Amino acid sequence: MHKMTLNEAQLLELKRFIEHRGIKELDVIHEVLDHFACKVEELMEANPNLDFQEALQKAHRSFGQSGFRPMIRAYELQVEKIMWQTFKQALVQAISSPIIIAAIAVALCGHLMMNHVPQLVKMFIVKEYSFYLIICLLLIGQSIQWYIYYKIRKRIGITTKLKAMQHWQKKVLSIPTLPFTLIIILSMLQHTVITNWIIAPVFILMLIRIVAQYRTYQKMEERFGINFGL
Amino acid sequence: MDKDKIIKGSLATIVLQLIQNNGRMYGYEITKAVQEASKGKMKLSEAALYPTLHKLEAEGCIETEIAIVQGRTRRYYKLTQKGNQESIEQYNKLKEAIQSLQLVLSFKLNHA
Repeated sequence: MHKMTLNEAQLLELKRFIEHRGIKELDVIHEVLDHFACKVEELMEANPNLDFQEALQKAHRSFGQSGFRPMIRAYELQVEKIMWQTFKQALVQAISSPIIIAAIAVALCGHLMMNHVPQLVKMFIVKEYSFYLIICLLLIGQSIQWYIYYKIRKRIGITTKLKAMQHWQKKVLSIPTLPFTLIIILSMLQHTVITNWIIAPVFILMLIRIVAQYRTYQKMEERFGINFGL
Repeated sequence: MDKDKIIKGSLATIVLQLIQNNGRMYGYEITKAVQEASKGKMKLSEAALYPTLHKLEAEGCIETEIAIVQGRTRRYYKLTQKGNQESIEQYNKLKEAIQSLQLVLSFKLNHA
């Protein structure tokens, strides 16, 4: 291919030009920089009278009206897709994880004990207040998640990876929210208090999701070097 | 119809095939290869190439190799085992599609 090579100062100028257009992710900077530099080199080689600045502008124009944006978006989508794939795998693993099996075992033991010890039934039977208690617990759970997200955002800044993670998280968070909202609506419509049989699967679902989400974060830390601070 | 629009559907096959033929390639090299091989009749834009490359990478068909070339980081793409199989399959499907298309385009009804 072309033989003309840009010097260190010229490469630094190209890098600043790219960063100035809002690209902060190192992986994206490297990919754009190499492609951009190749274009500038080719233009300068084809026309030796062409000034570096002119070649830079010409090369940038050749990326089209959207500039580097399609390259950034492609990277975002890739991170998002890998996050989903990792999450799906983690979800399958989480279903058979010891935490979930232990949770189901504890719930089953509790249920058996309540059936055999009548005094316990009086203590634990679902009353109006337990309904609000569950809402509070779920709200606390969601708040913890948003706090973790806030911490990550503060730590790594608004980057491409984070944007991808944001899209992913929005979808993931809707997993327990949807059945939970349905239960609330149903109980409100029927003027009844939700029973343990309905609450239990939602809790198990939430637990599976949290375990899978945590594992996804861990794998993304390994794969992309994102420090989630977990 | 725009030529690039027809090619768009076969972009993944083209990229896979090019990488398979050349061992490993970087982004700019792929765009140039398409341009040179088609004698300038086909142009592969960055907006089309990079989403395809990243999609193939996310699917596990290609993997990257980082090298420092001329003072800058270069990302080379190479096929994985899955990518090798995918490349052969997609190439055969494309060949079949082209043959079928040629038959359709030259088809005449008996009474015509």
